[in-house]
Amino acid sequence: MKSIAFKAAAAVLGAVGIAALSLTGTARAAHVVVDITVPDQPAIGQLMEVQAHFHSESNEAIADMAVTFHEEVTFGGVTSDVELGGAVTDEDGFAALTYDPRTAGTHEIHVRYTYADGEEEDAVASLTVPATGQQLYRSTAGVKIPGLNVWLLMALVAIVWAILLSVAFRVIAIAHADELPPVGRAGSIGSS
Amino acid sequence: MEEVTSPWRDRLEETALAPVTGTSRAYYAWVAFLLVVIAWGVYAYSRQLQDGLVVTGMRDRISWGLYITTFVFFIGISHAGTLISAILRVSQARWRTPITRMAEFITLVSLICGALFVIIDLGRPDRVLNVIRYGRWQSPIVWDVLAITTYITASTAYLFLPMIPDLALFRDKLAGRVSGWRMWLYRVLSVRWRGTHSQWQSMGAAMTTAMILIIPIAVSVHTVVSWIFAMTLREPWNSTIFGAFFVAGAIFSGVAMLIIVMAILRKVYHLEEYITEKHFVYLGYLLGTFSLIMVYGNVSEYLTTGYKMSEGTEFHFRQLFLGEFAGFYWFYLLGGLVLPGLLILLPLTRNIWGVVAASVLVVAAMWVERYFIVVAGFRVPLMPYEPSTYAPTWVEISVVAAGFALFALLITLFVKIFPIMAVWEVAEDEPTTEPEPAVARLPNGAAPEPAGGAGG
Amino acid sequence: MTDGNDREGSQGTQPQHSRTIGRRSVLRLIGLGALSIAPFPILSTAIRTAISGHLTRSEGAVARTADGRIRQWTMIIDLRRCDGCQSVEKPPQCTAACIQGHFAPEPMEWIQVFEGELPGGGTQFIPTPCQQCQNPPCVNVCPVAATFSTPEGTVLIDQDRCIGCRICMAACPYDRRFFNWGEAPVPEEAKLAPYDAEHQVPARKGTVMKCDFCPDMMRDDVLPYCVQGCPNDAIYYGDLEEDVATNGKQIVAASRFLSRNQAYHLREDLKTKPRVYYIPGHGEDVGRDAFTKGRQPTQWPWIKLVKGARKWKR
Repeated sequence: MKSIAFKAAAAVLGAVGIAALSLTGTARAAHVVVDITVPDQPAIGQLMEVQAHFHSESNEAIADMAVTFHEEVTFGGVTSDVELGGAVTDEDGFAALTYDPRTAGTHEIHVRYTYADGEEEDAVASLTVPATGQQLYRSTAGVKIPGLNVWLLMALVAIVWAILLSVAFRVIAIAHADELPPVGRAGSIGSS
Repeated sequence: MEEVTSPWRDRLEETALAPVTGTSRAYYAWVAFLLVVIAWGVYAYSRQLQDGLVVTGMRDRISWGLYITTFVFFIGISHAGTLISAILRVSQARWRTPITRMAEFITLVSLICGALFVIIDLGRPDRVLNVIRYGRWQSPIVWDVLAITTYITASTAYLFLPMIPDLALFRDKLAGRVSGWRMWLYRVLSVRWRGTHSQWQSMGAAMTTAMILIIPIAVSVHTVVSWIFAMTLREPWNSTIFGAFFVAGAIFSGVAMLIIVMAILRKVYHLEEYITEKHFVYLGYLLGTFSLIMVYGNVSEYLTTGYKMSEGTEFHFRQLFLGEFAGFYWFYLLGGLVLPGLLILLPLTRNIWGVVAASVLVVAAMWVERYFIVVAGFRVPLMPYEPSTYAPTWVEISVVAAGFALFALLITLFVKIFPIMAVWEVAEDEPTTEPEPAVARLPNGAAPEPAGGAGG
Repeated sequence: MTDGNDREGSQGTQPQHSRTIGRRSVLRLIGLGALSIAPFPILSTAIRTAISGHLTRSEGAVARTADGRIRQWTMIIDLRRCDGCQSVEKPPQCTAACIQGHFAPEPMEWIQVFEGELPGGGTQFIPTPCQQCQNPPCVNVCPVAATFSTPEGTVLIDQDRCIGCRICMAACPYDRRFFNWGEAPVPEEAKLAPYDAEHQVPARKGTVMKCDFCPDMMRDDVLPYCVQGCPNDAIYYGDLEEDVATNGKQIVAASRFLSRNQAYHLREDLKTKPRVYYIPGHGEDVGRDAFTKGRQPTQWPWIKLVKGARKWKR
């Protein structure tokens, strides 16, 4: 079966926190018609829904059919088909994939299904994602407590060494003390 | 100096000067023996430098052994000086005066030996300066370097400052009796001490600062040494009490080492008049107290982990209490904590011999404790593999023996050059004489001598 | 006790300088104290953080996605497909490929296949590379930053800086770091190789080595040796930024693959945040029964080609 995919211009529906959907693809097989809707303003790393509506030519919903969503990806020198997810059509014939695109550019999303005892069929929709260049994945380790960092340690070490230096200066002071008459052991440490 | 010198004072000064002025054959023999041990250790280390650490018994699974054990042990010993000198000075306990010098020197020598063992343990000692060039303040090893260099500096200052008046004494009294270079040394190091009021003031101020500062420095030193283990995720080391436990162990082993050195020097240099049984008993009380604290630490650690038996604890308990390390552990607990505690507790054994025997047991047991903390800690398997064994080789044993010999040698050389006791502080304890009412008045100028000297 | 810092002020003929410490001297002292620790790492740390803003280093250009984001390497090991190479009757091939490809000295197994016990008595095989933790205990304790995290999330070792203190080996909870106790054998072809942290040949005596995740190979779209070597395609290598992973034959969407198959970390409770995930299993997808125990011991065939090769035990 050949799958026919074409872009249909559509009015932008009001965005209510979710990207607006627009009709981008419809496929007609012998008995099954698939309408795939993809978000209008997809963004990298943002979860969105790709919805496939399965119905017969007479607009009868096709329910309880297992559907999988695929994409062809190249990575690490390998090119292969990747299964993005699966769903079962509900009573109104809708199956949705919750998906966040991770690369910029055009994605060809294939919807595969097997109707009744027929062969596996494929419908395609296209999704263009703009590049943002913003790093998504950030490793986080640790808790930032203001003021508690290595500068505190450096300050502590500096203070201790400054005090030690003052002790060293006292020794120099001893060496340079005035020549006064010597005194006994008065004023020494530890005299009870 | 225009002080009145009494026979007691003269005797004190002569006792202090005696080690410096005469050298016996036994002394030379002892130094020669130590030098042989050190030379053999240097040879062993040269083999290690040539072939790498493969000549030791350490391997990937147990990657620290005798060297780090001895490093931690020596840093522990270094707490002798601080406790005795600083804390007793701060609390103005008079009985400390004859032993402060030895304590302070043991601190410095053991710090030097301890620091040496870290460098000996490195795989690339030629790159040791990388710690300065690229050091990370977040690393326990850098904390170690900072703490130990600070402590060495503070200890040197704390050793040197109260020694100035004694060095001046040497400078004044030893002319002609010792070689020229030593006279030069005393002249330089006594920094023109004349005993003037302003000099006493300066020294007093410096001493006050140093003795208060050195206590937190010393506590921090052994705490950060313990954190080299406690900052890892290995089961026997992943404990919050390591800092306090190690500091207690350090003071414990430091006091014991001080008692041993004190006993030896007292015998060899005839210091019985100044270091008496009282000193041994008082230090023995400290030893006994700390043995109780150590028992408490052991109970805390093992009861809390053993009650839960989480990952790794069962293996560690088996190897420590029943298996490969059982001999070490029970010797440490019973021979190194309980038995010395009993020796101090029982009046029968609370004398010089009892205290010295207890100290020897403690020093041996504390080295053994560091050994099983390091090696048994490493031995607990992290992943499913067979636990390894560690057996030190002749290289490690030779180098450790050389380290102890160096420790003994430095102390031996010290007493040959520097005053063995804080003469001016001990002199403050000169027994004063009061004419008893029943005794006939003596002619002016004559001072009655108390019988038996100032001891007791 | 006499107060050394007497504040009698100018009194009699005693000059000020020998007894009191004025404010200026205090300031001078603190300045000197601060200067005295300047040789310590403070300066180098300050300069480094000022320049880079964070303390990660990278060796060469980092790998990026098509739109310029930095790749975050990860590995997913599907234990349902790992049978310790029992089915091919050889020593574990992931380890063998890594040893051969990197000239890992004996006895280092940078990826090591452990046999762990399962509840009930069976065993599972667990290929364990360096876990490339995001909260790495080894990086945290290194005194000279010889081991460091890269922007790609890998943990590397600079053997030209390592001082061989081995605190990182004490800190690693996965037994994944190996020490060059002696002079490791170097094959002829590697003697003139330019050393860098992602290409650890020739090995330096007295320093630490480990699995480096082969990011240099992935930059050229070549999968690491262990991934290539596995006969059952059990090891997936991926990028968390692009959310994709491959075992050489098949590509999966990483987040779905992990969630769907109950992936876990080794020693999750330690919170080292590893980049290596495991899917529970015992080789059942390649026909292994959990009670078939044992695997062949690892070998280092390349060592035999080097004259006088030095080796030691783990």
